[in-house]
Amino acid sequence: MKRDDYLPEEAEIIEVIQETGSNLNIKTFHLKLIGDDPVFDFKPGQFLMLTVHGVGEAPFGLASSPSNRDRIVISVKETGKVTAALHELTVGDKVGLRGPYGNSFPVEEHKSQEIIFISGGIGLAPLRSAIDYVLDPDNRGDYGRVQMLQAFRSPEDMLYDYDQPRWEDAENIDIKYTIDKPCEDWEHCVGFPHKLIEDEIDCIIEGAKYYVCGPPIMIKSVINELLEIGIKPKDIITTLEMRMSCGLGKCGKCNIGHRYVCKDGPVFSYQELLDMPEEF
Amino acid sequence: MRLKKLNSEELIELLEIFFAEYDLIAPFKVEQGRLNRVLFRKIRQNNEIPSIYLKEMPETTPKNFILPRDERLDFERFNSEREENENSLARAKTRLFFGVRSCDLAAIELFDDVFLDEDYLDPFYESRREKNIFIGYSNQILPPNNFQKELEIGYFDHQLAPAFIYEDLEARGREHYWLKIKAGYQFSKDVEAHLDNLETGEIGNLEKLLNDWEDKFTGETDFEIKNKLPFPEKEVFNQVDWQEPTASCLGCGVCTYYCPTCFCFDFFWDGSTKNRAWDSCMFSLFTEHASGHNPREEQHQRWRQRLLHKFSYHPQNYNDKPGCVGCGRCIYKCPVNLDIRNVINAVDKTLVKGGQASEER
Repeated sequence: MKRDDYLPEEAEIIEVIQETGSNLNIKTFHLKLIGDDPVFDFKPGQFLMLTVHGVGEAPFGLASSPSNRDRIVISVKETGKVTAALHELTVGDKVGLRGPYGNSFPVEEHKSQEIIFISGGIGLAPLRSAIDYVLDPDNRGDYGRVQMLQAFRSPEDMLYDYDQPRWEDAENIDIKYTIDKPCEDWEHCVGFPHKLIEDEIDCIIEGAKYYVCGPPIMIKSVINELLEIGIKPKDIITTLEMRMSCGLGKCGKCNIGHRYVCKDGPVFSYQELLDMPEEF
Repeated sequence: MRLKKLNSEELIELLEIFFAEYDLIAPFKVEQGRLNRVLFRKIRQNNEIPSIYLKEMPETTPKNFILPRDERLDFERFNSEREENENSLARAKTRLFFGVRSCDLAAIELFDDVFLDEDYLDPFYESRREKNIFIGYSNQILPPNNFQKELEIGYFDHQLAPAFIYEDLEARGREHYWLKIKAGYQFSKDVEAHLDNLETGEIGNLEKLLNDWEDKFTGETDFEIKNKLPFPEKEVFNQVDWQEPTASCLGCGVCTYYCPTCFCFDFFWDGSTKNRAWDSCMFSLFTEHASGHNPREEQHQRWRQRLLHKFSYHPQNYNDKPGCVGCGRCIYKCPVNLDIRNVINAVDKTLVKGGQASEER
């Protein structure tokens, strides 16, 4: 029987990376558990509950590869009370951690398949755990070609510029970037991701899996487009976001129908979503 | 099974013995301005005992003591030396809840399903759930708007209560109260000694009395849930007109706060102390993301959540058991007289029209 007392463990911020440009609203935090057992085991796609002491607690998707067990990485967009307080913190500051919670990306089931990652803004963060897992030299041989379509508002809003060269140089990979509106010195695509799928991605109907994450409206339009092309609902994987308190399927906040995003999700195939009420 | 007959004085004597042995919690009639309210309270002194008020259904239930409205999540108790500190929340005395309606007992059973779950155990709930005794209560007045029978919850017994007391409001003397104690159950020595002095009742007489009451109740309720639970989630979610029957809802949340089965909660911070408090699906902030996106923007969507949680989602997750015990408080307490039974009727009608009515109950 699992016993969880809702109380976080202590962790220390060991690195803070300013991801975005002029608007400064996304930062990546590297954390390390303090205590006898600093190892944080998780699977790609899982999330943690982070406490900013005295302020509050919120769920964040894990952005690091599970192979790197000494650093817990999350990328945080400043949107509310907890994220604003977290953005004020710096290296050496302490936060609370609980987790990991939730299910994970079905990367094990998808071995030998081609994987296509489609992200919108900070939706790239939870996908990063799966991307780094698939591209990990130990696992790379298990998967086919990898394609990515990363969408951002503007070049200044791009994430992980330190990862991109590594990802681009990986074997058998094809990465496309897009921004909402044209701007100077931008050599990549322009437009919303769902408009670009057909032209920019080699859309394989059989034997490929589509991992989609971004704001709810982006997920919905991308999925519609994929279905239009003929991709089967079971081959579309997404990860959902919900307000939640406990992370354990008890507080009653994050349900969609009888399922809880925290416990039965956050990762769902579109096939599963089709069986659920549309309330996300 | 043992059966004892008591008059009013003997009941008070029995409660005095209970008070000496246990932490006694019972319903009181409390004046708050012009309102007379019946609330469960802990008895603090002997002279409070005659004020225990059983006749009407209390507004509150033992829920307030087991999953309190707000509670500090005690860091001290749950630190690494857990074993040694296990007692800081533990009570010396057993709590005895006197006068609990069968529907409210069913609600505690539902909480146990959720918080003492096989794959997850809530230690704060567990510690408050330890060392409790419930004594059930019924009389011949059906609580207002009560529909527990439709949810297959009997009026006169519940497995969580080792003893049940029945009050015949029309009788006098020793026919007034009937105390039934289940076979094999023993109270403490002092209580048992006191019980020995009480007159034994005829089981047949009590059964006849309870049958009469049940017939009377059945005559009073005409509400019916036509479709089998759980309601089919997707059809009901999409096809029922949720706006029409819930349009007058103010979103005050009173229904969820008085509900003996609502368990949704939130965490909040008091300085560096983490606390838990009840939350309500009837509030817009319940599901609003930090980004401003809200999966349930309208009040009727929140009503849909409340109803389907109880009649579709909860039964799907917990062996077909409904997440409502039919106590009727949400109807009685609603400031705009919104009646959950009407909304259930709307669901039933839609399912029948759509030809998806599952087998009749």
